[in-house]
Amino acid sequence: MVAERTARTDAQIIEAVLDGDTEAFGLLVERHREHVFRIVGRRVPRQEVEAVAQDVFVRAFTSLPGFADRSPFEWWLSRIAVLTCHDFWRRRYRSREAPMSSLGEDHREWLRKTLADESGSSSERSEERLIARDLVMRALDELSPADRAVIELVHLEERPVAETAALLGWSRVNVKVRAHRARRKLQGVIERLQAEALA
Amino acid sequence: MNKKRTDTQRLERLLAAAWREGAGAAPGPIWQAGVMAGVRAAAGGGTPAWANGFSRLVLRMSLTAAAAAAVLVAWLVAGGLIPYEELALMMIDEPLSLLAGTPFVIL
Repeated sequence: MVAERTARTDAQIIEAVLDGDTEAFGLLVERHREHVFRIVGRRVPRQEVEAVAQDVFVRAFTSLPGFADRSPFEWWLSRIAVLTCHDFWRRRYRSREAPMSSLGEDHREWLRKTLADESGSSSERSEERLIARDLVMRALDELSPADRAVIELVHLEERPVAETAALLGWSRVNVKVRAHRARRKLQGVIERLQAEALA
Repeated sequence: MNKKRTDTQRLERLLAAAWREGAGAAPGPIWQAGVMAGVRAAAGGGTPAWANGFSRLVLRMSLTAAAAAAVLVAWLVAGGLIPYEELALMMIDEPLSLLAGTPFVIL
């Protein structure tokens, strides 16, 4: 299995899958799951990561006949992962009923402490990192799914506009305009969180 | 640059860093088995539970009907109640009426 994993290229495995060897797809899952988890793990809530990552691979499998060998498989898979996360938030956004609840005491505490510490260093404690992550997810929740997707790619992952446009299937102008507006909105949300913590 | 703006930018940087650290390690073989089950289902290799139950029922009914037809043919031929060739023709022309009917109707 290990030898097979390293011996065959992605293109060879894809060819085998398209020839009817469904099980060969498992090699692609094994080879690229870390990459998919890096993308999905940042974008969706922790409890949803496994299910969304599974969706990514099933979508990749069903879309495989449309895979053109022009781009590397991993890049093509990244695009599916980004779009699957975008779809996740679009569904979530449609079914959202109640407005966001106010900040918890641990969030307020983190914000107060961070604002007081002007060194700007991030916490090494895992508990505090989780609180910070909750906060950023909460801030992103206040953006539309499209704003969220573009800000994740352009500002949080610092990907170039051209790459973001290719990943989302948007024009470069659309990415630039939306990224700028989305960042302004996110900054507005962060300012509100600050005010709420200090109130 | 005022302090509020500086604070917002500092928070933005820290929150972005927290977001980037969000990705956990990929799970192991159980998760991968789940993915492959989904892939097989998408490939048509897997079927939902109701479909499995239904196909088992159809298979059982078909086997029972085939066995009944074989017994009926054997009984008719062994008893000399009907010429074999005529029975074969009936089986080809109207298999359903032959299977649905009783030997007495055929006679």
